[in-house]
Amino acid sequence: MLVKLNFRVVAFLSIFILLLTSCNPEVAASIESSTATFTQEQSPSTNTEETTGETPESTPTEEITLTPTLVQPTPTPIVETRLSPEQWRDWPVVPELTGREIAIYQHGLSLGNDPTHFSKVGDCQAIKDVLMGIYDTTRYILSDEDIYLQETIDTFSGSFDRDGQGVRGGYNAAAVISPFWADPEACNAGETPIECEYRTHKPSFVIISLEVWWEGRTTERYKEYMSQIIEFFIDNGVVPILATKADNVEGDHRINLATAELAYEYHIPLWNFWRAVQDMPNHGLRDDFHISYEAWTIRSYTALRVLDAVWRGVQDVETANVEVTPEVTGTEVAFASIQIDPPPQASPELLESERWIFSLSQHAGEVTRSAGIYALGLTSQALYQIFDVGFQLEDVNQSGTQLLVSLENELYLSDLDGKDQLLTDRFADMGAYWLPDDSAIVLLTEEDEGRSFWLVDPYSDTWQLLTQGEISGIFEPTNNDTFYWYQGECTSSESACEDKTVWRTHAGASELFFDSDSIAFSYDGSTFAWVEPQGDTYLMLNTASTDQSTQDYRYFPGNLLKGLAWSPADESLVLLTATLSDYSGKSSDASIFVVDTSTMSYVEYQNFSGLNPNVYWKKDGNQILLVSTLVIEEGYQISLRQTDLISGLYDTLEDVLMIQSENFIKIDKLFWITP
Amino acid sequence: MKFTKILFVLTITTLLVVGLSACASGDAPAETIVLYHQALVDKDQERLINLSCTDWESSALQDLDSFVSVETTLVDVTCQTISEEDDRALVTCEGAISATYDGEATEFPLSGRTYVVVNQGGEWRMCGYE
Repeated sequence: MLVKLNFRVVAFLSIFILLLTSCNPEVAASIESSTATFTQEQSPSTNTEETTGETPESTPTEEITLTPTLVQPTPTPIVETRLSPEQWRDWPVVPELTGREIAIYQHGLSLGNDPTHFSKVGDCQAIKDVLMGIYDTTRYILSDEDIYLQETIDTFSGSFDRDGQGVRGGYNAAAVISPFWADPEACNAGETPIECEYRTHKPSFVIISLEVWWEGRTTERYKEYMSQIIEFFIDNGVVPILATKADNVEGDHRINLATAELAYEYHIPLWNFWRAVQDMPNHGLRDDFHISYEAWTIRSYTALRVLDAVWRGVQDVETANVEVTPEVTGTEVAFASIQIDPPPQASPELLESERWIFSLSQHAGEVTRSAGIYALGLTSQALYQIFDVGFQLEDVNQSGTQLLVSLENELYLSDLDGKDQLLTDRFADMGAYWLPDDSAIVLLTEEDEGRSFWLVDPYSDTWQLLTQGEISGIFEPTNNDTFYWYQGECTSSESACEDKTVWRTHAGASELFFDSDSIAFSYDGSTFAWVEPQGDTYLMLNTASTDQSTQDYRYFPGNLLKGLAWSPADESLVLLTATLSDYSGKSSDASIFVVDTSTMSYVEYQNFSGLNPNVYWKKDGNQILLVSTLVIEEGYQISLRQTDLISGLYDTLEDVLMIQSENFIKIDKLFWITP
Repeated sequence: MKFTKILFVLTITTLLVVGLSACASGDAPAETIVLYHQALVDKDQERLINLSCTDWESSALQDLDSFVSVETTLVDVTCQTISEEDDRALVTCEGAISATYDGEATEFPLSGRTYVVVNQGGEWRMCGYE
């Protein structure tokens, strides 16, 4: 008994001692990876010095040296001529200055701020890929009206293509003033991101564009944080430029109103980006929050104009209250040259049978132009230019000898040697195609009373009206007596249409065929396919017979359809998909699926990189040609890859055909002609 | 015999209570900081305020707001009290807050700063950095 009792006492005394030991201050409280479960574990060290030694190494603090000759702030009257903040929607995109900017700027010079630096403070919509990074490259082009902006681009060179410490995905107005969010590799301990950005870059101007709304937080809280940001920069002589946002996630634009109120209260510039995108499709948005690819250009361009206006405004007191930037009106731009190797020859008379016939387009500023029509002999690898700049390739007949070519509203039938015959000068620029047997052409004309869909025999000049009315575009015909066309609001022949409906015309009668934004018919016309998004990560490929008696589907990874092309030989089609990042707005490389629609089985091939990927079939159905545009240091380059679907082997064809330009270029259409 | 057993149970119970009390008081500042960060990543405003001293409440809310746009978790967080005097303690931590935005994770290390913890109303509360 005594022994037993002693054992228990010893055992529990041991537990007691153990507990006391575990409660020693040297023992840490901890949470293991992302769980709230407490554990008690031995601390690696309780030595204060050692702990301090684990502090991330900070960047040495840069000495702020006052310039010897202090520039006294010039007393400039503040003139607030803007409409009230409640009328922020009517505020100009490019602000008029109030005069306070000059005082802030001059104070900044006296503090040693760099007059050639500006910073950005923002979230994913302000990263350099989206906001002005292009102006530190050679890939932009200015119209004649905008050429004055080059001085601003030169002045602030190096500030455009950088995020600095003020920009990061996930930033909001609270984050940029929280030391938590400062990069320990670049920032001193305790610094906030904006303090760090100011210390490391010493800007004279800062564009503050914090779009992220947060659920359950008040506008007052947003304004409180924004005020701290604004006052920090004003105190340090940096001119803050606020920005409205394109989205309205909060439902009543209260963030934009609050931003306008802040700009008004502090008499500082406001870049009204919201107004700049109002005329764009979906007001420049691709979802509720993220701006569209097209809006990126407007975003960078208008931001540059705002920077230019504010920068010029602070140079001269007399110009401070004058609007210094003109509205964009001109469309004349200088296009860069296109380098092509092999150099194109003039006459294609000796062209062998197998060839590619393709057209190029070039994009500069806001202007896109056709950059010529070419033929490449695949055996000789000789290149011929058939048509010069301005001509657009519409279709090629089966033998590859007769081309349909347009020049604005004129449509021509042409030989390979460029001898052409004008078919119409009322061409509606929404497609012209040969029938499958090359016996006639279908085309769309613009008439006073609307558009007309014609079947034309070009050799006898016989025109047969198929239908007339609100026709947005036509599909390539799959037989000689049934024709498909579509209605909808379409901004161009290449973009998707809103509220698009597909119609079928047969024997003089038209009927609604399908509601879809994107639809492609198989070559024999028996089947059609379309793709629907399924959440953020999948696309659903649907196929149906044109008599709509059967239907099938299959899911594929991706949230962006890049291409859909039926094989000329069988029931296969190529599906190009990509995944668009909500963070950067960039899409991934294209995934390539060759789908046998009779079984919906598929084979996936090596991903393909580049912008605007597209795919073209060889007639035998055994090979495909992938085409895209690569961004290179000097500008852009066409990328070509020929893939053998049976072996899976592919060739990149830079040694066969190299096309480069400082401007964005792409292959618009390509026809793979075989004997 | 019966009395001996009762005495034994009472003794052990007393020892355990005393032991656990010691434990709680000894780890409290470090535990507060761990709990503070847990409340931060849980985006639990009420708990965060309860774990903050009066002067730190607005800063705590700012910390909370700064993370509201991202998904957050704690990664291997371990804190330790490095000094304690009267109602004020200093705590250091290892580990990080992991913040994920659009699938891209960023870690915010909790080391490199010394947390000030004060005892207000009998509770240890986060009260800033040194």
